[in-house]
Amino acid sequence: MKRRIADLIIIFVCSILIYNLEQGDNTFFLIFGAGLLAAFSLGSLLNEIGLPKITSYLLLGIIYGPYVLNYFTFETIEKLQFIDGIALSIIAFVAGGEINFRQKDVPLGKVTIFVLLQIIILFPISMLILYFFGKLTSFSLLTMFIPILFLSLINNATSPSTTVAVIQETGSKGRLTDYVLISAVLKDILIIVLFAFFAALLAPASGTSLSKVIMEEVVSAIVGVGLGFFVIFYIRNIKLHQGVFLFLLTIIVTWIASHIHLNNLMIFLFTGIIVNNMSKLGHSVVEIIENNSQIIYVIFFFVAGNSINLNALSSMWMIAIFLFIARLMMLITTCYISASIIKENNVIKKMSGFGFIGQAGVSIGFAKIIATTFPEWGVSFQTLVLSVVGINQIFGPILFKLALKKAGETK
Amino acid sequence: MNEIEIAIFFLMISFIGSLLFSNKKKDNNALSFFINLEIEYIFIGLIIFVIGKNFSTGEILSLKPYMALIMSFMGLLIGSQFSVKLLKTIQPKIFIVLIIIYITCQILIFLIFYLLKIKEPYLMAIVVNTAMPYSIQLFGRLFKVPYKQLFYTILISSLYPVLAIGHYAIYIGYKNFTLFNMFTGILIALVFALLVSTYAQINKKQGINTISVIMLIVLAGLSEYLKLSPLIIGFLSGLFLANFHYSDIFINIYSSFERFFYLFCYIFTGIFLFKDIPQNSNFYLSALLVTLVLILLRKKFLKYLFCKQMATKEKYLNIISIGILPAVIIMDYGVISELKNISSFLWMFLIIHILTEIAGYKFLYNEKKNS
Repeated sequence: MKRRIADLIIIFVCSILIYNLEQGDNTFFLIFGAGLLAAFSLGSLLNEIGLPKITSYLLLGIIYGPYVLNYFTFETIEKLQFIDGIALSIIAFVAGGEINFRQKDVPLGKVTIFVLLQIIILFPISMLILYFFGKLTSFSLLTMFIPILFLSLINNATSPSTTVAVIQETGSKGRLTDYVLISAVLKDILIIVLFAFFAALLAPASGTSLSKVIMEEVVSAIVGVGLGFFVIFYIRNIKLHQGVFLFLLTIIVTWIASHIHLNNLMIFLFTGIIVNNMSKLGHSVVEIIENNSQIIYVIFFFVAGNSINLNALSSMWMIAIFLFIARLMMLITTCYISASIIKENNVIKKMSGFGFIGQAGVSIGFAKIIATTFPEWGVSFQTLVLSVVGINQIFGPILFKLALKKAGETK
Repeated sequence: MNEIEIAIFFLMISFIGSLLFSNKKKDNNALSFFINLEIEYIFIGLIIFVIGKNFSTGEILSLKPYMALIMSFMGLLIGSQFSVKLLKTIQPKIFIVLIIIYITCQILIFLIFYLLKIKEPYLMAIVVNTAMPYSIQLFGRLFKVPYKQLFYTILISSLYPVLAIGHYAIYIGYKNFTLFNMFTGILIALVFALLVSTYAQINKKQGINTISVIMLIVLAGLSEYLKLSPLIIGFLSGLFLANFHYSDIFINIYSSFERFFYLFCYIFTGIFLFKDIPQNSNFYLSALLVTLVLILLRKKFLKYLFCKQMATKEKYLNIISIGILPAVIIMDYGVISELKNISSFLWMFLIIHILTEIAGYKFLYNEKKNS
């Protein structure tokens, strides 16, 4: 009770404080800190009724963001992008670090088949459903082949950062947890490759930027591998100040990646995978980051909430809700079929689909590329994707948490 | 500022720094002692400064919020070491010795600066009249001196910062005094400590980790917005916090970041150091004289006074080293004065810091050799 009252007072005081402050250089840290404090308090408060903390951070991010109360203006969000980038890098590092090739309980080969089957099944089903929906509603975007194809691809995309955040928050351990986490990472890597392939194939001649996408992702992966070996070299030979070293390295690499247009998610996913699998000391490094990761989730999801485009959602909310429900059904069905084919247990069959609902960076990134590459319909495509991602990101963590709880894998 | 160049250099330097770390073996010799002081991080700052100067399109003022964050942290960390409960366990005679040494040093250092016409002599005297126990602890570790034999030296040099920052707070308060500033500062510190201690009671460990970082951001933001000294606000918050229940959880969390922030203090020193190099011979003379005063008072006089008061014979009694604290005070002063003219302060700090470290090491080494 005492904590609930304290949380309520803090949210109230922070809101009043931010409301009364003028945005500027000398108020930046105060506004940011007060926003984080309010988000953290809301997270604790709503967690009591079972809502995942990251959903609360997102919700408060939306409320404080430029589309509702405008406490965080577009300029403030712009300033936060770099901190947000560092947070994403750290989350990606943790996600990659969770993948263990030597793990005997969940064989990587089996999970890879599970992921491939999901994509193979979901992709054509999604294309069919979207096509018939387009026909029925005469929604022009869904009467064309290319938008349907890309939307079906994006339906496969998930959010490893959301997955890791929910797992960390609930302290989950078990087969479902491992399956969903490894699948989410693998899925994202595969989807990025597929997207680059289709984009290069279908883009108009002028859309040379798409070949760059492939290069960027490949180079990012190579940089990630190199960075992984560099971290291993450090922890084997130098050892001292590991936390400081990792923190500085993350800042520097994120900084450089943002300037030379590399994907920091991809870089740090591979760094995490290499560090965890190529060195016996790797897990201790990942643990250092995991232990201090909650602040990273507050920052990342609060800023993500600020950026959720409510205008997009309000303009096509009915279609977005349909797409959300259709994707949810498709995920549950395809996961059930895929798990049955690889002879997995009932928990994986029935629950794993709930682990892939959350969507974030990758999907938004794809939508942005489509918008610039296909200007005649790309912008409305982007609006649609942003609104669906918004809903998925709010409900994804809630449903995944419930699934983990039902599977008995939460702490 | 062209961040990409700075980032690449940062990476290069941190890599070289990492290799240097590998040579930071814990041997019992002078090289090991000086390398472990981590002064080399000044060079990272220096390179950032050079790049900023040659390629810069932006303002070095953009560092101010980050400096405020580090100053709040340092204040919080230092303040949180002083709980009334702990202070009560210390013999009053030690406080008498400490205060006599502090006041004598302050007067003599001020006179040197004043007579040699050094800018802002009183503030400069406050800045260099500090001490921290790091180098004595390092010596103890490297030369395997039993902790018991260094106890009083570590105790006195650990208590010294409370006088130094307290004095600095009074000076700044006097210079920029308004009732609003004073009450707001104390109120912020009190509310901070209350909030933090309430959270410590009702949250799990992970939550406490998170809230401690968020509160630090809020504290730095508040001091910057209200144009108050982040070091003093942090210090007051730490003092209050140290005397509340459950605060030890937070103090442990903050302590784990201690070395990390020290490195940044050296980096910031490097950034601002070369903006202006003092050309005046009086400046260097005063640095030498102050070092001499510190050796005389904080070694010879301290030993005499301590042995007389406590009626004991302490071998390793020596608080010559001024530590990193002067850089922290200078940065804080820089933050509240829009980073104007702090390079001469930093030069003074650096010269005295190096000289006192050499002198301190020499005395300790000889004492160890003769034991």
